[in-house]
Amino acid sequence: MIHTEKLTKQFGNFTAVEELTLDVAPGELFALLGPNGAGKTTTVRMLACLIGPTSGKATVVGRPLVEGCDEIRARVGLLTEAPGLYEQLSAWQNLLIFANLYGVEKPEAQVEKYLRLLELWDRRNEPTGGFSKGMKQKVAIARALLHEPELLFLDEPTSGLDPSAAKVVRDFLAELKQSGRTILLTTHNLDEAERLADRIGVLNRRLIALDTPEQLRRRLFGRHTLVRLAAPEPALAEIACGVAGVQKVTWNASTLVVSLNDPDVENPALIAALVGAGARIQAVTEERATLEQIYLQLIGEEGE
Amino acid sequence: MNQRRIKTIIGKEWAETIRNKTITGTFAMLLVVFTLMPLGFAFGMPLLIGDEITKDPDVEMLNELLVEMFPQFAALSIIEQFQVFMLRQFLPMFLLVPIMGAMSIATYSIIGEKTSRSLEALLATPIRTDELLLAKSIAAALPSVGATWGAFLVFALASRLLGGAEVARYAIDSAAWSMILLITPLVAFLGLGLGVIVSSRVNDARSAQQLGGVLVLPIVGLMVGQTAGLFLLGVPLVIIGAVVLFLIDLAVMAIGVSLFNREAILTRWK
Repeated sequence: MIHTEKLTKQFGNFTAVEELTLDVAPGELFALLGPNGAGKTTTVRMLACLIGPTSGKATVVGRPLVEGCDEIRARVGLLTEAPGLYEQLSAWQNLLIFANLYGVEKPEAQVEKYLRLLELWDRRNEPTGGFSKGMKQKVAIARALLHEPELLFLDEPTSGLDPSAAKVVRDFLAELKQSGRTILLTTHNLDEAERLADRIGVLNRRLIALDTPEQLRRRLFGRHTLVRLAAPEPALAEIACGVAGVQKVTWNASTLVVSLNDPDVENPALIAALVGAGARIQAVTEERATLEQIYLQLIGEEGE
Repeated sequence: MNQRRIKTIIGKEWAETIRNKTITGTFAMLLVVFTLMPLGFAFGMPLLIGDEITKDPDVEMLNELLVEMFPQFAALSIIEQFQVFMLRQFLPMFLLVPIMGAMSIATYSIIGEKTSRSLEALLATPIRTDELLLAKSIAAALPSVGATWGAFLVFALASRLLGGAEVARYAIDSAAWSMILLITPLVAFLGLGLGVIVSSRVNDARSAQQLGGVLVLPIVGLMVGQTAGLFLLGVPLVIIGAVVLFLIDLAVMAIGVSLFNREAILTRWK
């Protein structure tokens, strides 16, 4: 659905995006993470044909950037960082304008569909200037979907929303994902990315990591099994070290921290060996690095 | 060019303009003042001052100038000559309506889109930038030109009713009609072209209006020139003016079009 090769954007001497190479598959929800000024919005603007790349090439919905922009704009939807509504006009008028600009066949019916879907129908004739931030964002989401785009770009969709409005938007995005639409999401919200995204790209002008949240976790932190014991027993560490697949064993108070190649496979043998050695196990859990830890590690490494 | 998209933008612009009390109020006030003021001076002053007005040396001098340029004026009474002079004197004021109207609508439209940050979503649609610029131009120019022509028609009819056939014939002659029909659209396009340029540099409609204020100076110059007896509006002067304005319009629109592209709007407009 999206394919880029060394896509670069410079503004004068400043490089906003450097040699970005990535592929987003149909039906995938891909999250682009990065600090402020990392080039996330510039990337979305390039892919949505709002600005041209300085070098590199890309195809979006199968069409090449620049030459295919008229078709790309007609087939993708963009939720901009700010809702950017015509605030003196009603939700109905706002959406009808965009339905006509996108050449929707039955604009009134399509506007009605999305106003009802996003629970805005009862307030359709009110000027959007009087809407809450969450409602404005819903109108903006409807605007991006009116022409049923194959690919949706969402630039910071929950930025500036209160937690309840953000949840409404996030739930709607989860529904969109279920419907099989391809989505490229930029966000600062790591929890949002983790919950929604199939894959994550960490961007800091150039792409510094690209994988599923789980693979990023494994790559950066490995996987640890935590065995909480009634009391620390030093001999158990040696027993654990003898189990196949165990890489490292440390103590944290009365908890044995065991690094394994593949805990799903090796945990049963580890637990059996410990129990066989007389360990009084109170609990076994897996330590998982949060996406925040992964992100901070990646950005930190990039800054060094 | 896609007509549906152009019509949609024109409709949107008008829906927003109608809700903008600053624009509609200023526009209505300009129309009323510029239509009634010359009528008041031409037909009200003689009623208030009476024959004294004919003894004013300035009026005498200007009437002599009129007679010199249009010998047939001698057949009119001194009061009628005064009325013709006053009506003609204010004709250039009608050009203020299209230039100020078009510029106001264009600047409010673009600056409004900038401050509400709606331009990015608009530019993400399949609309082409030339379609967008054309639609915004038509949306700004049509009401300005239409209102000016409407107001001038009212002015012409009132002049005929209040001053009689002879006064109306001399005051609103072919030069006046050609000025209104030919120059009005040209100054409207000048106003909106400059509106686009100014709007690309500022984020506040008032600043744009202040910058645009200098546009009225040439028109004020026309009025002062007439009053000072430097010239009287005639068809040749209108044609020369139209040609000059057309060339200026082309240059201004070329600059406007070069500024009005997606990347420049999103990354370089302040």
